[in-house]
Amino acid sequence: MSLNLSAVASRMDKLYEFDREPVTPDKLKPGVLFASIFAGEHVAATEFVIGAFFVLHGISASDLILGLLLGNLLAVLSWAFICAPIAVSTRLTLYWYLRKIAGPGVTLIYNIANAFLYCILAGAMISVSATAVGLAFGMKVPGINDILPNNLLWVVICLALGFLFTTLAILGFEKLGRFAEVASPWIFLAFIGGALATLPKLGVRADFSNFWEIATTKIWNGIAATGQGKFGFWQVVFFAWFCNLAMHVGLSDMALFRYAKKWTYGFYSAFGMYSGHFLAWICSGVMVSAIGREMNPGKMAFEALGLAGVLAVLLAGWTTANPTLYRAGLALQTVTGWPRWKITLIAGIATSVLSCFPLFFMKLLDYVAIYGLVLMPIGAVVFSEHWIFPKLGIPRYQAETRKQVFNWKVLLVWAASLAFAFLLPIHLYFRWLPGYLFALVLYVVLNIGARTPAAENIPTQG
Amino acid sequence: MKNKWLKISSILALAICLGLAWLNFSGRLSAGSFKLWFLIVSLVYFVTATLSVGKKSGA
Repeated sequence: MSLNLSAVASRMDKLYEFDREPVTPDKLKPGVLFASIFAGEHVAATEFVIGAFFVLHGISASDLILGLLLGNLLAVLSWAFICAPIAVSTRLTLYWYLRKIAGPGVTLIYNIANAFLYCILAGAMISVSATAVGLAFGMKVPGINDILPNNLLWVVICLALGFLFTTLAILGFEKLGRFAEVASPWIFLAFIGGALATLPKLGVRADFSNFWEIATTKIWNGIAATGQGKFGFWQVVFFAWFCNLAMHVGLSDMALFRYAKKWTYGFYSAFGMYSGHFLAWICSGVMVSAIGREMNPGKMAFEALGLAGVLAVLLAGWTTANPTLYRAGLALQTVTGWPRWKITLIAGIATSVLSCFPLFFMKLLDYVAIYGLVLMPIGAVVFSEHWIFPKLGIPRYQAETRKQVFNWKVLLVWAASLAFAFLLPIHLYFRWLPGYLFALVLYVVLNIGARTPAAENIPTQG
Repeated sequence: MKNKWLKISSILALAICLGLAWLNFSGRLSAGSFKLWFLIVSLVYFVTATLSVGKKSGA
């Protein structure tokens, strides 16, 4: 396959053509829609794993609750003060705004990186669903420190589910996407119901009088499982903050907030954070404690809710993997120009193979950190260009005005800030913040020479 | 009008699921009965909610 960059850029533009123009005032959406989108999107299969991992990492109950309150608040503020204002000001998706700033070549690289990361995430979701299906066959779930698959049945079930999810993604995203709307309130309820049904098994009395005692001694007792690093308050804060880094600080939710009437709609993200990333994480922590801290989402939901629990894990895995596969297919379609079914099939096969490796599922927390970290510098570049350049008199949208395919400064900032972040001698979870600040400063420094007293800035719309 | 009732039924099913979990937690419903009824009411929810969403998008 020969890679003709202008042809690829043209295909990519065509694919995103429908949202090329800024959103017009008549298409703006009410706040309640943003609240429901966030509440639905952030109760997913990952929640079964993340909340359970916090228990395994030996977090204390008070560190968990306070850390989640603060970390989720920081995430909400990031949506409200970083992502939503840029989206409302430009009314564009990140794709089109980045294209003006960095050129079509960089947006292509960004799309490929995104697709690759999406495939790994979808693979982890297939693994989560496999733990539920495997119960029917007495399957042995890989251990928490396993990297490679340790039994044939696990591989067979992962591949079968991967094939099923891929087929459903090919058959039609829109109708299935609508089913996800139906499933998400019920999945949230399955978390709450599962935790409630589990509490008596842990010894919690019906009047909740000894809940805190049980929580601190039997659930979040501060003792890490073998092979798991001990987490404290700041790890929880940073995890909750960066869990959706690519969406808020990384600005990919510009696609959503360009429909917002006001930037303050960013605060509606709290509906997703405090339901999914607070309550659901706490509920999955309760459920995992009742099965002897075994990382097996299928088993923990089955013990709590019976067959409905198996259904919850299966649906949560599928409703997360399905749009992820679809997005990966879309991103890769721009590179190959192949029909969507074909590229979704290839992305699905790759994802199914990845799902057989327990590494991605068992190291989900680290993967989520790396996912946000890889895409974060692009958010820093766009932030600099949007807010800092006009203040310093640096001309904006140089790739567009100079008709550049690659804005090399953006690529340099991306690579250098990733190298900087990976070399920092601090915990993985804390690296993105200095990396982000480094990217902001480096991008401004690289462009300061272009400063003119009367820099001609293209006004923002909206 | 029909859609309104489907929507009400689906919300009611969710509320019943939560109520069942509370009854189980407070010891007034055995674990076995809870799991069975939770599954049945969940299926009712999926049928009514899917029909409700289908009608909304078709309208």
